[in-house]
This record gives sequence, C-alpha cells and structure tokens, in this order.
Amino acid sequence: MRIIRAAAWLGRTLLIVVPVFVLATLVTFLLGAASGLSPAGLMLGDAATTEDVARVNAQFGLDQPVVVQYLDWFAGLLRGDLGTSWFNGLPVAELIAQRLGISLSVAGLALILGVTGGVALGVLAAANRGGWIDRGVTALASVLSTIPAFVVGVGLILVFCVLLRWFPSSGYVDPTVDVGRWLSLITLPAIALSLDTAADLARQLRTGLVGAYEENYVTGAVVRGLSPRRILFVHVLRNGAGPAVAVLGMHVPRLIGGAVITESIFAMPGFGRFTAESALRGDVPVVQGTLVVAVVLVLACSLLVNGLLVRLRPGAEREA
Amino acid sequence: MTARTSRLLPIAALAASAALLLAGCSGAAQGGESDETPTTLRWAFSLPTSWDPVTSSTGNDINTLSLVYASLTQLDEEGNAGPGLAESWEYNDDGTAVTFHLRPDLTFTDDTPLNAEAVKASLERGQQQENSLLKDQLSTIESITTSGELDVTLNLAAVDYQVPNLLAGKTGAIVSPTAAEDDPEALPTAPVGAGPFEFESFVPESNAVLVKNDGYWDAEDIHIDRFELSVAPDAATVVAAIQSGSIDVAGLGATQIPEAEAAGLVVQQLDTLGVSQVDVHNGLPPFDNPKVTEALKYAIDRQEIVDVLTAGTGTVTYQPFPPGYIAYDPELDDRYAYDPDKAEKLLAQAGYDASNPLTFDITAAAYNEAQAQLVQAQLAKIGVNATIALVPAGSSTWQQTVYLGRTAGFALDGTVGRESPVQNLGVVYGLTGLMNTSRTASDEFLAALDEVRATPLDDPEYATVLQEAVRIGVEQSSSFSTYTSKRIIVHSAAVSDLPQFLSQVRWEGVTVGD
Repeated sequence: MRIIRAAAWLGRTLLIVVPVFVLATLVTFLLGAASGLSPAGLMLGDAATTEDVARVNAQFGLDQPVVVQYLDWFAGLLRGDLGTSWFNGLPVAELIAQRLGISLSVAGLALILGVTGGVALGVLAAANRGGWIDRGVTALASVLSTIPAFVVGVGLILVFCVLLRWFPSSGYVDPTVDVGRWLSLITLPAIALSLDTAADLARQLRTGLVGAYEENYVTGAVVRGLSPRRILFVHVLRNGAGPAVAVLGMHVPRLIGGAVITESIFAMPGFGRFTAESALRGDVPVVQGTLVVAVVLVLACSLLVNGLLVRLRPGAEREA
Repeated sequence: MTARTSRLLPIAALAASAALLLAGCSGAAQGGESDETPTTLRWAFSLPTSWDPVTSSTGNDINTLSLVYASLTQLDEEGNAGPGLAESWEYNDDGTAVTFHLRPDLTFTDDTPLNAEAVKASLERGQQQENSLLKDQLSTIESITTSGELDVTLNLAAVDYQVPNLLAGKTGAIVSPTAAEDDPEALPTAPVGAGPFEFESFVPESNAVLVKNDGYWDAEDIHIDRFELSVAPDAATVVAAIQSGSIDVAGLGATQIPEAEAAGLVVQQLDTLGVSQVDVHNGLPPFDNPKVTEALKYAIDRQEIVDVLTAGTGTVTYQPFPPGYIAYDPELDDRYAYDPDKAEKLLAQAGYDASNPLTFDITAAAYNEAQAQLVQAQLAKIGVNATIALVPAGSSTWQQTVYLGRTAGFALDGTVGRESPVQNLGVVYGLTGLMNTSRTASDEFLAALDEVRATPLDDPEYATVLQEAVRIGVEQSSSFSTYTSKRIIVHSAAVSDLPQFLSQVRWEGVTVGD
C-alpha cells in the first residue's frame, strides 16, 4: 500500500517536474539564441578579422538552424555535457562544478548558521509570545532583512579583517589543501549570507508556532499536565514548522546561486558571481549551463521541501 | 535532569567547535608557520585569456604570460629591445634576415632543451596553428633556419629592423615544443615555458599558483619563491584586502590613492604605453567632412579629462605614445591644444551652427561612461548635440560595432601599446588596423612606416624617422589621441617597489619582507 502511494507520488511529481524542466531549458536556450551574441568577440579579442569570426562561428555550430542547435544542446544536457565556454574553451560542466563546490561550502555553513540562529530566535519569540523578547526578536529580524548584502560584507571585513585581523578578507582555498585556511575564508561570507535566512526563518517560525499554540491539541496537552518544554519541542514545533520549512526551501537555491554580491566583495570564485560575470561577458553557453543547473537546484529543493512537509504534517496531505 | 543534559550536550559541542574554529582561524590569518618559509607574493590582477600566447586574445595578457614564458628579447625600462633568451643578434647587410644567438644550456620547465630548433618550432606554430592569433604579427617572417644549437635565423618577407622589438612580448614568447606537440589543446590551461616561474595549478578565472623556476636565465634577480595570481577584488575592498594580508599587490583606481596612503600602504604610479584615443570613422557622415574631424580634435579639453578621470595622474597627449618614449615627437606637444573657438569656426565653415547643430552618437564601453559624459558636455559647449551610446561591458558587441562592423562614427577607445612602435602605428593608423575604423591610410604614411622598418634600431636617424611617421599619422588621421594613463599599483610596506617598465609589469628585484 505504501509502495503504491510512493509510486503514485513519484508519478505525480515527474508529471510536473519533467515538463517544467523541458520548458525552462527551451526558454534558456532561446534567450541565448535571441541575444545575437557570438563567440568571436570573446575568443578573438583585439586581434579579430572577418575570416576568423566566420571560422569561430562555424566551430561552435552557430551556422546551423536554431532548432538543430537546440536539439544538439539538449541531447548534450541529458549526457551531462553543458557545452564549451566561449571565453576560455573549457567544458562548462567542469567550470560550474569547480564553482558550485565553493558556493556549496559557503552556502552550507550559511545554512547551518542561518537555521541555528533562525530557529533559536523563532522559538525564543514564540515561547515568549506577546512579551518584550518577542517584539525585540521581530524588530531584530526586520532590521537584519533590510540591511543590504554589500553593507554587511564590507562591515564584516572592516571589523574582522582590518581592525581585528582575525580573518583574511578575500579568496578561496580548497579544504583538501588547507582546512584551517578554508574555514577562515568561508566564515565571514557565510555569516553575511546567513543573516537574511535567519531573519526570515525566525519570523516564519514564530508565526507558525504561535498559530500552532492556538490549536486544540495544545490546550489538551496543557490540561494533561505536559511541561511547556515538551509541548513546544515535541508537538508545536512539528506542526508549526511548515511555513518555515517552505521558506527555507526557497532560501537554499538563493544561497547557492544568488550570492553574487557577497562573492564579489569577498573575491570568491563562486557560482553566482560566475554566472553574473559570464552574462556580462556575453559567454552564452556558460549562462545557459548555469541557468539549467539553477533550474535543477530549485526543482530539487522544491521536491525536498514537499517531501519534508508531508513527513511533518501527514495530515496536510490528506487535507490537500 | 537527564533530558536537560541531553539538550545541553549539542549546545556544548557547538560552542566547543566554534572556539576551535576561531582558534584555527586566527592561526590561519596570521599565517603562523615555522621559519624557512618560502617567500610568497600574492598579486590580484587578472587571469590571462589563454595561457598559450598563440591563442591569447589581448595584449594585456603579456603581464601574466611573462610570468611563465620568457621571450626571445625583452624591452628595457624605456621600451627598447634588449637581450632575453637571446643574448645578442645581428642583421644581414640588407636587413632582410636577422640571426639571434641564444644563451647556452637553457631548458624549459619540462626539461626540454631550449635550443635553436625549439625556438624555430615555437615561432612556426604561431604562424601555422589554425587558431593562432599571432599570424598577422609573425607574417614579417618568411622562413626560419637554424645553425648549430644556439643560432636561429629569421628570413624576412621584406626589410624589417623592428623584429627585435616585435619578439619582446607575447609574439616572441617561446613555448616548449614537447608540450605543444604532445597536447596543444592543453596549453591554454597548462603552460610550459622557460620564464621566471613554473606553472603549478590554475582555477579558471579565479587564481593560479606558480613557483620559482631556478632554470630561468635571470633567476638570480627573482626573489619570490611562490607567486599566487588572482583576479582583482572589488574596487571597494582592495585596500582592506591588502591590509588584511589576503593579497600583497593590486591595481588601484586613481581616486583611491589618498585612502591607500592613509592606511599606510605604498602607492606607485608607473608609466605605461597606454594611450586613450577617439576612433573617428571618416567614411561615415558627418565625419566624412575634413573640417568636422579637424574641429573635433580641437574641441576636446583633454586636461579636464585627465584631472577628473585620472585624478591628475595621466598626461595630455596628441599622439599614440607617452612623453619620453622614443616614438614621441616633442614637436606635437601642443598640436591640438584645446581651442573651442577654433573648433566652432571650423564647424561653421562646414555648415554647422546653432540653427543646424552637428549631431552624432558617442560610442563608449560601459566602463567609459564617465568619460563619455565629460566629452558630451565639452561638445555641447561648442554647440554639438552628442548622444551617448553605451556598449555593455565585456560583450562581443564592441568588436561587432566598432572594430569589425564599423558602424560607430565616434568611439572612445584606447591602446595598451605594442612592443614595436611600428606595430602600434599600424593598429592605430594602418590600412588594416583594428582601431583605424576608417580603414584608410595615405601613401605618404605607409611609405613613412616602411622607412621606419628599413632603419636599424641603433641608427642615429632612427628616432627622427620614427617620429616623422608618427607626425604624419597624427595629422592625417581623423582619429585622435587624448591622454596617457599610469599603472597605479598599491602594495603593503613589506613588498619592495616594483621596477618601472613601460610595456608591462615585471618582478625582477622585487622582495617580500615580513
């Protein structure tokens, strides 16, 4: 019975995910084709001639009809081949993989910090709902959400790198090369990125928990003599965390792929900055590749969140 | 109680790891290591478009390529050719062949001998490889012969005494023939040369790590053991990055000099061959009227641009070379000195006035927006109605619009310079020069260029002949130069000053203290 339910869920999911993916790749590809950009500018720089331009265009198959180009590209996608960068001729998949690793390090730490901080603040606010702690947390969360990323980044550098000299202010090193330096380099960007997540999470969790507190079963639990701590952590948290989990699900892709400003300020060769720089350079295959990866990330996160929500509140599935 | 303890444990663990993290971080930030540490220098500049000089697409790459490759000759502080991999050379009697004598016992970092055959193979690859971007520059060489281990003779297509200059930079960077034969496709990301440093690792558009090459012919002047090259950080964080020790040397915007000096850092202003100019296409109206193009040369207040955009670090110039360089003609010092009245009179003669104002687009790259606005305002003072057309940063549109498509009539541009002044004149004023959007050149100019090529570099008349060609180019072209730029470098006090070389950044003699 459970297997059938799982299979049905998988089938329903695929029915949505696959068309979304195909449509997204089509739009991505058409954007590149419609841009009118060509690899000649990037590869030839200030040494170009008209013959060189024609040679380079033919080399990249740009003299083919658009439909053929799309099918070739899509077939490559399915094999994991995201094409070749117009800027340095390297495989896009390899370039993205290098940078994704960096962004995942920073995003991972940011997620840990953001979740820890957000949950702590949200629970604190909900446990003291209506009091001055609750109002203080809400105010703090609002402030944290509105500070722009570059202000936070530059502020952190000024305090921790220049004044206190506790951390280096730029660059990245692989953890396999030097774990200590790796940690020291990802800490500040992770803090900068985590603030928005913590703030959002705190607010959503607080609202969800407060709502859950008003449910009947909570009154019943109080009457049965359960301790406030048990009520909060065993019952209310599980039922009130839904909106917070959903919000977190939306933050994850943003942390991995959207940290352009933070990555620029800390001179980290991350995924977001790479996408932005490639777009400015007109390196179409890279931008197409990063968009596809972003689509996959968002879809994966959505699926994960949906799965989590179902586990948290099995009743919700029945209600839906 | 038990439940409480089990809740406290994860918190305690988190606190402990945080403390460890901080301890590890301070250690890492201070770089606490034992004695006998190799000297490391971290330069935030840019990564080359390709580590293979044959497919590098911009002249600016010489700054990074010269870290791993040595060239046949090398330009000295004034930009004149001196010994490099070749310790001497001489021409035949009619200037149609030049023989270079290599230093003995040199090898590439992969232990391939750096002999005459290797040089021949390297130069021929630049001429013959299908995607080579050096074909044009190397076309002056018709064939290459070798004699013994150390003598390479270049047989030229015509008289050309510029060859020692030409082979001083990217064009003459010698690549290991073993690496080129084994896997030429790998060279753009894994170079093998005989330069000051050996390539160790590279993350595209991020950073490269190089280590000292003890086999470099001038290794005794290199005092850096480990060289880390990375991409320039955001302008707002350059000073902080050097203060925090993440990088040691970086480029600096002119307006940030006071901030850097206030922070106790050292700022150097190095002269370069870089000259900004305006590419004017005299085949497109309204620039097909010589009075209009003449007027525009007087209409730009170059000193104002220098003051505002370069914080006074640049200098006004009316020719594509900086003052003091051998090609610089002092007689052109005030050639097109700012004269708005004269400009207005010339425009009136061309039929433009308040009732019929001259109108056109100023094409500029996005990073040049400030200059475009200044020029627009200056043109407005003489009644010209100019609109700014911005080209997005880094895209191929500039090439399509200005260089190849040639649809831009008035474009803000600039040259980073070339090792050979004749090459630079060719790019700026020559018949097929990329920056000469008009694609026209008088016979008089082309003859003058030929005469420079036919004059030996050590001839007492060389400077005169060269400057004459410059004068003709400046006066006859519709394009015009505006100002020179300095290379502004900021470094921590621990790093010694960089030597002053016109054509590129070099590291000979640079030391890193504590």
